[in-house]
Amino acid sequence: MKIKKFIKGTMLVHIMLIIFSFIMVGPFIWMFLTSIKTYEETIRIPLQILPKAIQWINYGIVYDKFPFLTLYFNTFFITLITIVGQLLVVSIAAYAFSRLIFPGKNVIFLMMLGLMMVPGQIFIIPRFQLMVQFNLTNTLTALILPNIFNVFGVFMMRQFFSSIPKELDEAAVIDGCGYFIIYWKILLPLTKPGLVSLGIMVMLNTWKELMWPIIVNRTMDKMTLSAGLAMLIGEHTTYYEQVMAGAVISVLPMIIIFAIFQKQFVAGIARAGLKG
Amino acid sequence: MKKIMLFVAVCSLMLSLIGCGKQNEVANISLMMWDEAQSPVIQQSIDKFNEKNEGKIVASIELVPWDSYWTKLDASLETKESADVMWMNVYLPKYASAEVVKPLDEYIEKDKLDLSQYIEGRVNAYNLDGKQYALPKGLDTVFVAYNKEMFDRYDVEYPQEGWTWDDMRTIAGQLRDKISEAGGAEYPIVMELDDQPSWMNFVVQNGGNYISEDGKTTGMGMDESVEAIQNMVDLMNEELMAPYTVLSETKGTDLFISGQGGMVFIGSWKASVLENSTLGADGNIGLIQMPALNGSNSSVLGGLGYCLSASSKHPDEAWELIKYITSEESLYNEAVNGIDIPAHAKAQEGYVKNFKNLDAQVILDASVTGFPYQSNGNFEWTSYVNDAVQKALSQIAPVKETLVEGATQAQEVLDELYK
Amino acid sequence: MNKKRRNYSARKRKEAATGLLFIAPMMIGLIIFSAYAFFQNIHFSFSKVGTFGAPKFIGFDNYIRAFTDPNFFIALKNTLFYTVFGVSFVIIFSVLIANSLNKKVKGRTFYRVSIFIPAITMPAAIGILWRWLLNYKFGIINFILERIGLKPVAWLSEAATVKWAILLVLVWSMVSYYVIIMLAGMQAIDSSYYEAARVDGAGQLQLFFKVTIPLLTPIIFFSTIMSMIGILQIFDFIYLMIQRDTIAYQYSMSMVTYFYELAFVKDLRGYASAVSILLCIIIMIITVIQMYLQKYWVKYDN
Repeated sequence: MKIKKFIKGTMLVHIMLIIFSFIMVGPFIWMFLTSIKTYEETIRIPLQILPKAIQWINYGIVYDKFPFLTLYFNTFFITLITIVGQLLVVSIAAYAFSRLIFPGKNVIFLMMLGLMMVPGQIFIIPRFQLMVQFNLTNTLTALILPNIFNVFGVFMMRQFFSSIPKELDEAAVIDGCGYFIIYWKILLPLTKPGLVSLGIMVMLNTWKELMWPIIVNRTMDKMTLSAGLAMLIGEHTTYYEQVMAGAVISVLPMIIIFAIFQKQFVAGIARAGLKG
Repeated sequence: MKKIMLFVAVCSLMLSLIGCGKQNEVANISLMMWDEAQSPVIQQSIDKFNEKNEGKIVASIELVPWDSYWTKLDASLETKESADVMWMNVYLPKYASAEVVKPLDEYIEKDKLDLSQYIEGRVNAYNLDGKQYALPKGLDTVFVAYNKEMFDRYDVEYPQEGWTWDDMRTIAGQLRDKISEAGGAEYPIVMELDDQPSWMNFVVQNGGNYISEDGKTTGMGMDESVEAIQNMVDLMNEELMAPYTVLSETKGTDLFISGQGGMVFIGSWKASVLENSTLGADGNIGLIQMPALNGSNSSVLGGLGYCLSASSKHPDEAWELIKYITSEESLYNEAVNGIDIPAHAKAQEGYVKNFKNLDAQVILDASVTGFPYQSNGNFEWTSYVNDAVQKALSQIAPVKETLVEGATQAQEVLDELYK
Repeated sequence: MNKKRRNYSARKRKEAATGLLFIAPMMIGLIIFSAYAFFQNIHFSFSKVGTFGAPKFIGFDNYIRAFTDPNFFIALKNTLFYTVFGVSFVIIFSVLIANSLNKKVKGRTFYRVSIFIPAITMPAAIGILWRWLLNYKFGIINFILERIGLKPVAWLSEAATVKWAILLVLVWSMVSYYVIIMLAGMQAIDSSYYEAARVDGAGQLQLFFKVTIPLLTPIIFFSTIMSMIGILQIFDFIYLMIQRDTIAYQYSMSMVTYFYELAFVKDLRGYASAVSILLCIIIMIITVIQMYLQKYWVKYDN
């Protein structure tokens, strides 16, 4: 009786989850298996699933060919500075939209909402030319600057500020606190979950963005990991064991970070989604 | 008042100090190029150059992959912060007409540089309206590589010098039959799909053209061009060549060096790839001139040169670099390292010596009958014909109709340009 | 009395000034990088813009060109194909997977981490990975197909299949992210709804269709809009997986891929601007239609 119930109830769920998990993880397993084969093994017909001997040397080869440390540094540096920039620019604007009354507030806010609808490609050519005029092509600044002014971030952070009871800052006003103090000392600490979401958004964005870096920057030492990897396959399509080794090096750290901070990550993404 | 005077005096003193500092400063110049494989050897020349000019000039390489090279070059030329010296190919007219690269004539005259030491065709390739815009680096030829091991295994005779298109079909046919008998998965012929190492050769051999000599009309709709493309489609249909689907996913060179192709049309820029492959190291790669279609085995002759940016802050030093890097000494070094066929006649002998696994004389000989890569430096019209060729090769549309239509569209663009 | 009012309005003035000051950095950035860029783009779309030299006004030529350019229509058709199928599959699969994950089963954390991995993997890695998996001769997908007695498919090079290959990778890579969002939505559903339904004798399936789905509609709506906007701008996988200058590239290219080609490969910046504006208009229209339709199927819980 119990077994029957188990089969009816959770067995089916388990089977489904195993299938889905396999579909999601399977490709990564193949990525790893390819990365430890010899070239001959990767192009054998019929396919050879496991390597005869593990070829860690592929990792050495691709590490020598490809400046992973620089790319990792660039990616984290860009993420960090963008987050700091957004903290200064985005959240303070969100605070103003949530709490303060000033002329043109609603009109400006609506226009910003409108901007959210506009696809990014609209801005790319003029932004590229702006970067050219500012002499910022092939710099990390070019990858940071346009991303600081995150409209979605303002929208999301405003929701967070609005969810904090107004009584809190009204009391502070009576105590004679200035607006900046209220924002910085009282409200900002309360929007920590929002800031985490904002940080995760920036991180995922820097992590994933491809078109802008390959357009505006030109040398490998000014690329993010993602763009660098794209450039790597542009040049080498022959030796998949090396390319896969490169891919493993680029995805593994993020997977580890994710496995550790799984809860925070998921909560952050969900919040960013649901608040918007 | 006194204070102000003092301030001015101090300021001017500081300024003059900065000025002094600047005069003794070395000139930092850079060279932009795209080929990762060539950079270690070119770095050797750069190192020597820096040694010779110690305390005066420091040159360095700025490596940008091919995929993004031209975009980056455009952007950096526009901002006037480009590298001082850069690799240039058939795109030169675009840069020359925008005046972002500098004519070299005054320097050539000043230093009495003898241009006849270079291969003539390559000097002329960079001469526009009587102005010399670049010094030639090297040249590219196209030839055929074949897999000796595969020919031996299937007991088919190697291609012989002086072979024709029909000979090639016969040989490929023998290979095809033996392969299918043995249940193998190899292809008799593979190729790259871009113009230079493949179809442009046969179009011109057959009497057609990609663009006329005056650069105003495209001949891709001509019967000769259509026939040449049809010939290639026939190869695929008769299973003499790998199908389009395979070729568009994996590059012909990659298929060949992984032992899956019997023969490949290939460019000299891939010679070191052949040399260093396992197949090559085992002595299993044979080289031969292109087969003759319609009596001619002429093949595309390409090449690179070095240009000087018009916005260079150190044009004199940059010129010194160009001069040194195209000198017999540097080009000989490139030759013995096998990265490029030198455009400098005396340096060429170094090229053959370098190859241990390949008969590189074939590569040099191909340049004798070569014709220059056909281009007018404008790329607005090319996509129409290139797309049409791809459509024809993939056989999603009839060859003749597609090519004629593509050529007509391209011609409209060309007419608009030269109105 | 008078003094108090003045104080009050002085405070108001100060508040207004502070508000403007606080939004100033954001506004300056947006004016330069968004507003200026936006109008500049419109300006370009009416001009001939090359790499060097000033733009030249040519009226509606770029737009006329788009409507007579077969490649533009291929790109448009492909983009709509990706959007319609991509959004449907992403939503269906993410709801199904989230629903399974929402059950109290052993090893949930393991399943969750596994299923979420693609969400944090960069598209560049996903692109090269799938390019390898889908390889015609050496790919494991074709190996599996052959093992189960099917013919191998030239996923990335046949005009007829390349779109489906891109769609497959697109859905695979996007589902994870939306599972996270759907799951959060499901967990926010008050359990009293389920209890009430159970009292009424509802089974698992009925619970799913009668309780979960209706209460999830706001999240589904949000996800539809977001995934739609995302897919309408698809670029990465096509750029990464398909060899340029082949027929497959043409048959899989999206509007953004075409935009990139025009602007940064072919140097036709003016025409590219016009294409980007047409894309923008299409996104606006579809979004407005969605917003209008939502009142017929989205149930807000209040």
